[in-house]
Amino acid sequence: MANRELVRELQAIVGRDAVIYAPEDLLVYEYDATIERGLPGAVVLPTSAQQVSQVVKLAHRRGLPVIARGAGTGLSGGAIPVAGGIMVVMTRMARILEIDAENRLAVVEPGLVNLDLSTALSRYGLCYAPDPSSQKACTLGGNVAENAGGPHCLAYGVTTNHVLGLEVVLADGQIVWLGGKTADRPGYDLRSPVIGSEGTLAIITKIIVRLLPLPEATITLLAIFNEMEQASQAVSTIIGKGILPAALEMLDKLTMRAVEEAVHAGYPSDADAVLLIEVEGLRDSVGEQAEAVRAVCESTGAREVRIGLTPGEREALWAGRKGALGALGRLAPSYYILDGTVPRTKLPQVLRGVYQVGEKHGFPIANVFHAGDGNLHPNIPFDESQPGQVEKVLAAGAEIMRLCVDAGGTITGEHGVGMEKCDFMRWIFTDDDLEAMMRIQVAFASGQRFNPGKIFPTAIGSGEMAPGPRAVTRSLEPEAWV
Amino acid sequence: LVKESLLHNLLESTLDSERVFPRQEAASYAVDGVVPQVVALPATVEEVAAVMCLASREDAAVIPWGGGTAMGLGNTPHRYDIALCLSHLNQVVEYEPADVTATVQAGKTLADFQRHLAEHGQVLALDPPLGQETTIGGILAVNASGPSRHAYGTARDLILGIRAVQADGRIIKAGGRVVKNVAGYDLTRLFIGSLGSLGIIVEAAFRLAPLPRAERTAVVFLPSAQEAWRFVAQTANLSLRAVELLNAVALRQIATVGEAAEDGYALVLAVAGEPTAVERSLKEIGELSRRAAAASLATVVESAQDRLWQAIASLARPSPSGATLVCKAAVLPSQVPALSQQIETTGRELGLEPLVVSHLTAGIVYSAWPSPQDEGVQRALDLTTTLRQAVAGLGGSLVVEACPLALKEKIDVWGEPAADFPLMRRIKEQFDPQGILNPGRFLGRL
Repeated sequence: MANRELVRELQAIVGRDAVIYAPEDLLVYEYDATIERGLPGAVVLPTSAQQVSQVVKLAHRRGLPVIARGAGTGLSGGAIPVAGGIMVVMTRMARILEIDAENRLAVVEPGLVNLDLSTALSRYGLCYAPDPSSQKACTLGGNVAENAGGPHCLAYGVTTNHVLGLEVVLADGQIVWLGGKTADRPGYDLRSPVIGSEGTLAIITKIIVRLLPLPEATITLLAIFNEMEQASQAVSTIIGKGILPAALEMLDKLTMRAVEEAVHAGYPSDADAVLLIEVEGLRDSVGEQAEAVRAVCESTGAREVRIGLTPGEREALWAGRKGALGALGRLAPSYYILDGTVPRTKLPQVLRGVYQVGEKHGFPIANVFHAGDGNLHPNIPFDESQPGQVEKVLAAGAEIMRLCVDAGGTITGEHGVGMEKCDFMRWIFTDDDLEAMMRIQVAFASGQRFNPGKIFPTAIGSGEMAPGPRAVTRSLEPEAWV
Repeated sequence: LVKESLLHNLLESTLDSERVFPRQEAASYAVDGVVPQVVALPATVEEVAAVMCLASREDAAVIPWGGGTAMGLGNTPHRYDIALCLSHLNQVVEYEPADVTATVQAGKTLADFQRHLAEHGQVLALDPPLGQETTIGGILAVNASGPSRHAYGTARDLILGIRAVQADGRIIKAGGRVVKNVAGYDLTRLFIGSLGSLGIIVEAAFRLAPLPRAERTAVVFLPSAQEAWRFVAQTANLSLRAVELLNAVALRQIATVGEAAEDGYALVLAVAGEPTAVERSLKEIGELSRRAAAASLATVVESAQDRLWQAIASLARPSPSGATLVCKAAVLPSQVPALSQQIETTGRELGLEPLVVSHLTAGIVYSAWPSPQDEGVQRALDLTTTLRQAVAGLGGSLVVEACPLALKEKIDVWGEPAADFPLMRRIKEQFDPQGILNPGRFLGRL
């Protein structure tokens, strides 16, 4: 807990009602969507970049780290304080400052909820493309910090492809713009390293995002397969044929069974896998594209392909996908959600391996993921209260991550490294690679000041944070999905 | 200072002597008139690393060299000892068509790479100037782009990961080969556009795109840039790969299509995608031009399209005589008409006819000005100052991409550093503490 003097100083910056310091109130801020816990010393809710800057300066004088937090929906412990400090919660900076429809950009504050932006944009016929599954709750500041993805990133790219500029507070309290509204700005692209830096380089106070026109027409297809291999084959064939759907998602048998019990989405309980595929574009061509997708699915063995044309029909096909994680949450008290990417052609092989790992450790594994991107989300339901289960589930998770890396993939496609995967970083990066990344942190002079204990394995950098056994596990809200 | 012969001898002991040339044979590797002491042509990534180790030990300044198509870009180098030519690193490292990704070495020319990909109906969706000669590494170093950026963005939107050799010779990788990856800081995009001043990119992995199944080109002639912008605003949903705006001078240079009004503009549209989408888009463009004031429309013969687009992509290249001032302005797309107008007005006042070509929807406006060599530097300086003021007033940036050498002594070709510059300087100091990579050529003479 923070001492009285610190609280008074923080109150002088942000106002009395914007500082939280009572231990029972702080509990709300000790977690995100993982099982990690860590109490901040105090929480502030600033309303301007100037306030953030003053808080950062105060923290620096007192030798306290600063941890930025959005809505706390992160899936890698990115917003969990590892060493106390002052948490800056951005939810009171949630305004849309400007929508420039003509130039297809918007200037927003970091606390703005992702879906609120797209809702505000719809009357201009525009949208913000990255749609993380928690988009009803997650904030754009958090999206930028984690370089968030989402189902529709297959066609449109992830957060970094949609951010033009950032106003940030640096570790010395300076407020500076990185990038801006216009393209190809001379000098180093400092915006890119900050995107996905998980709050360790700078605190984001304004974001300029790129907007896209809403598609004229959209068709959703649901293809049902008796065998997982057939579904994986359909994914590679669709991508390899040069068809680029807007979204291409896969759900496996265990997921479908859970979904049927919870959502009644009409999935057959005896099928091994379904693919949910969305094509977008001009009225004149989406029909053809949908037809091509259907042909591929049938040729690879789909036993049924359902097509949704109207918003209502499409919504119904998506219902199972959107309800999947919440439904899986009913299977067990706790959950371990994994996130890794493999080359798309390696999906069948890696999926086989994932199920084998589950069998070996005695866990059922439910896969629901962005198949078109090769971005896997194996989910392991388990009971945290059983002794030894957390360790076992972590071991299984590590083996699955290893499978991804061995297939030429990576340890995180969209959830971030956070606290969970620091030690896996060495599987894909050498000491020289990690040291090169650290040079950026040194240049930003943010090392122990902003969100310490994240991303880097312990021997690199400061070295003093050594969190104990960890797991990205938590009982899930009905709204949750990856 | 490094002894010339010493450096040559040391390099010869590192590389095959056939791949090391002394100063006498290095004239074609001059940058802004500065000739290097020695040219090195490493054949492997490890050899690049060995050359950098040596350069770092001997404190020798290195300029990486790809296709040599953009060596006039940047400020005059403070010093220049070794030309590090990457043309021998020209292999496709990994290509799995079904993944629609590929990894390629930095010295491969874009044209070579595209030929390889086209065999599988795929393309790296970048079309910078001089695609025949320009290399992958060169494109990344200057973040080169072309008309296709309308649909595909720039290299930062297509890159998946890189390998690079650092100033001290250590080899690093960043990113990876999969299409979604958020592990660690994004060094990949930081290195793009850094003009080889942070490290030497030796390998890059890209997301590819399927070749469009159909492509047609439409040219709409409009009386003003403003009319062109209004026209484009109505095409948001159409299946367009490129939207280029050419003034009459630019149009005359490619001169394969139609006739432009004396002071009019040509909007050149690449319509690409599924055949039905192309057909529908062309139809709509036709209807829009009938409705637009004083517009006429031409469709380019299919067999002439590729050549036309290559010509457009290379329009704003400095003339081989070097007697040109080329400026690249970046403003908001909606400001392109006003800026184009201002450029034309400035031209008329000076009795000059600038070539103006824009990536309209990206807000990028190139202007190329004839600048006879017998003339002093003053006019180029005045012009640059006028354009810089105009662009600054719009909140944009202006880079002088080519100019008489004397102008480089008077200005920073990248413009004035902004509030983020101290951070850039610290980045440079971290990655190249000795200042041996392209010293002096980048923004703020870093």
